[in-house]
Amino acid sequence: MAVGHAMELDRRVVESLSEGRGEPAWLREWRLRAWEAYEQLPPPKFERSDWEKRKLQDLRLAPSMASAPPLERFPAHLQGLFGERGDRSVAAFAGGGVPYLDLENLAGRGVYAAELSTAVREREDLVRRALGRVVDPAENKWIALQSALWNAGLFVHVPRGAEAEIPLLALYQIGEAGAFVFPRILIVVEEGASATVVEALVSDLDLGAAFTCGIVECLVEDGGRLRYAGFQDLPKSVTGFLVRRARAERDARVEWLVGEMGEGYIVGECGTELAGQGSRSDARVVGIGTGRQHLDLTVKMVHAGRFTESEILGRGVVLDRAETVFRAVTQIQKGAVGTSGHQAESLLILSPTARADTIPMLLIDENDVRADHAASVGKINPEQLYYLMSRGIDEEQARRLIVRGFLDPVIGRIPLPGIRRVMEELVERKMTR
Amino acid sequence: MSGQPYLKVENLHVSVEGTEILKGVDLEIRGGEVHAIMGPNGTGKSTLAAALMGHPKYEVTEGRAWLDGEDLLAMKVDERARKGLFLAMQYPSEVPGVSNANFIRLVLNARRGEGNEIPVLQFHRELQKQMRALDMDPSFAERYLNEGFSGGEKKRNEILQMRMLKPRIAVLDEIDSGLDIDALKIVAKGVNDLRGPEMGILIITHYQRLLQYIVPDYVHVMMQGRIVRSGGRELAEELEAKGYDWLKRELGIEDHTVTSRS
Ligand SMILES: Nc1ncnc2c1ncn2[C@@H]1O[C@H](COP(=O)(O)OP(=O)(O)OP(=O)(O)O)[C@@H](O)[C@H]1O
Ligand SMILES: [Mg+2]
Repeated sequence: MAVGHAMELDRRVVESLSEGRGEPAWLREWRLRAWEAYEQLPPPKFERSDWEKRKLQDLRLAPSMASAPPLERFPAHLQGLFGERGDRSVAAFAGGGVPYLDLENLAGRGVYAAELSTAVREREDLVRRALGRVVDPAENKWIALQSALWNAGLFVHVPRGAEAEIPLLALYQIGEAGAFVFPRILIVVEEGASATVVEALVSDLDLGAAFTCGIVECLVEDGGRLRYAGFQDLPKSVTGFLVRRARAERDARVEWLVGEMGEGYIVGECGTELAGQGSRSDARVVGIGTGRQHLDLTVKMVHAGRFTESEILGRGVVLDRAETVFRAVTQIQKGAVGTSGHQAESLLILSPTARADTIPMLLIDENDVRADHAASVGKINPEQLYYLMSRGIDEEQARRLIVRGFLDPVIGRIPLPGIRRVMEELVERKMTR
Repeated sequence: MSGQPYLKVENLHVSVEGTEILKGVDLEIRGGEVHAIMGPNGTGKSTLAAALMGHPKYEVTEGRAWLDGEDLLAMKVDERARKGLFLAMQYPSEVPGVSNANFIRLVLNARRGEGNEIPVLQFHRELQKQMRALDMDPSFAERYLNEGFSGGEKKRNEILQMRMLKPRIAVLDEIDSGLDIDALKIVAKGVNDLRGPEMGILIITHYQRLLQYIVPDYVHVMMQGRIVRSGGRELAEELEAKGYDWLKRELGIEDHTVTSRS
């Protein structure tokens, strides 16, 4: 793989990437098919977002061989995620180079985790069956691009009955100068197994324009449990497209916790395909828009199986001149009888120049179901502000308190205390920046 | 801060959205004194309280006010509070997601300043003690600030905050409304416990009933944006017996807009 400056994107980049990583022929072909799809597909349209107008050509895509920074180089406010060495496993990436891996704790529990290209060599059949099964490489242009060019992959396999309750941290340092990072995370949770994965996309450098595309795909088999927490705290120079999606088989449970706390132009989607009967998925999503940022978030639950349940809870805060779109989709397919889908999302606008939209969607093709939604966009109530200030706290603090209270239904219910604290810390930081 | 608390209001005129509501109010309250303001609905009692606290909608167009000799009207709302003014509101706001206990601790710490925060255990002990004094269920500490509280519970929560904050001058706007007789006694005791030279109190009420439990030193009657009569505690009893119409006739006030109720 070439170490280089900004380079034209073409088929050869894909070929040399695959070759540099020592990948087998089938994977090179898989990437190249994705590349062809990328070339043919039109840019996807996002209602109320001008994403399709952003020119990728203007963005620097310069692969490098940078290796992962040690944990100490991750921002101080995220250190709370790391915990003690005995309490977690870590995979840390910077650029497309050699990651820092500390996965012994998982290995001790019978869980296999490795850099994705390594996993292709060590668990070829498994990876081959799972890759692209939840997120079809040809689904849209950016997914196709990501599939062709992912360069910071992680594979996690939790075999039948294993419990990886200690969190696996997947850390991505996007800010290595001149590097591009396309994270790809593939998780297979087998029957009755369970796992907790915490992903953080961060950057402590001020970059020139940078682009990142990330895909997380998870297969959760019968009775399996996956709890996935994803944070994004990227600077305003970054344009990002992030997809996090799971497929839940019979009686499986998938829980999403997402904190979009960066300042970049971000389009993000997360959700679950509830394929198996009796599966359930919950999503709690918090987004904070500041500066001139554009934040386009979608949470999507697709019910295919009978007696499936989903709940979406989203809260967003919009400041400055930021624009935020929060889309929640509950789709119930024909035949998915006895399912229930609930969603509630609200946005709080803190500045007259900010814009916020909630777009709730219930797409229902079955009769015997329960589905409801609540959506709202509001401002800080001046009476509340006055009341809080009348007890002696200043206006800034009173506003922050109201915002914290507004986010509490999501953040206060995060079951992992470490993650809850980091989330609170990120909110506080973003509000005071 | 030290010395005797002292609030002085001079010729206060206040407008709301361009309409003049207060038309020259004078008032002096010192530590140790309990004043009561009575008057028919809509005569400006809450307006006085809001203007003193600094509600942004209430514009002072004339007159002055001092707290302990400092220009009260030049201060922001939060500054007034930190200087020792407290207003128990007629309609306290609900703030979802913020627990009562966390809020009160934050407020106490804002007064004490950075580096001088109240130790957590000491805070909770004090809070529990004050809640017991007001016969409040311990669960109210962890409930969200005023959210879903009944009218009476909100009033009690205002008095709880007052007891925790120990203000120099406290204005209590209709803390008796919505209280049953037992609650009224508890709240009155909650206020009476604090009576002393450290604190001056202004009670706004319609009813003589509250004043049987918190006996005022001075009673003022407000009508049409002015204090039209002041006297001792017997003035409240006289009003209760004779009604506001009696006073209107005596003062020769023509009033078609305000119906009197007492
Ligand atoms: N925010 C406001 N907007 C418009 N009008 C207001 C506002 N606040 C007060 N007013 C008007 O000012 C007048 C005085 O109101 P205020 O609340 O001070 O009366 P009050 O004496 O406290 O009455 P009550 O005994 O019913 O509580 C009323 O006519 C009221 O409608
Ligand atoms: Mg009133």
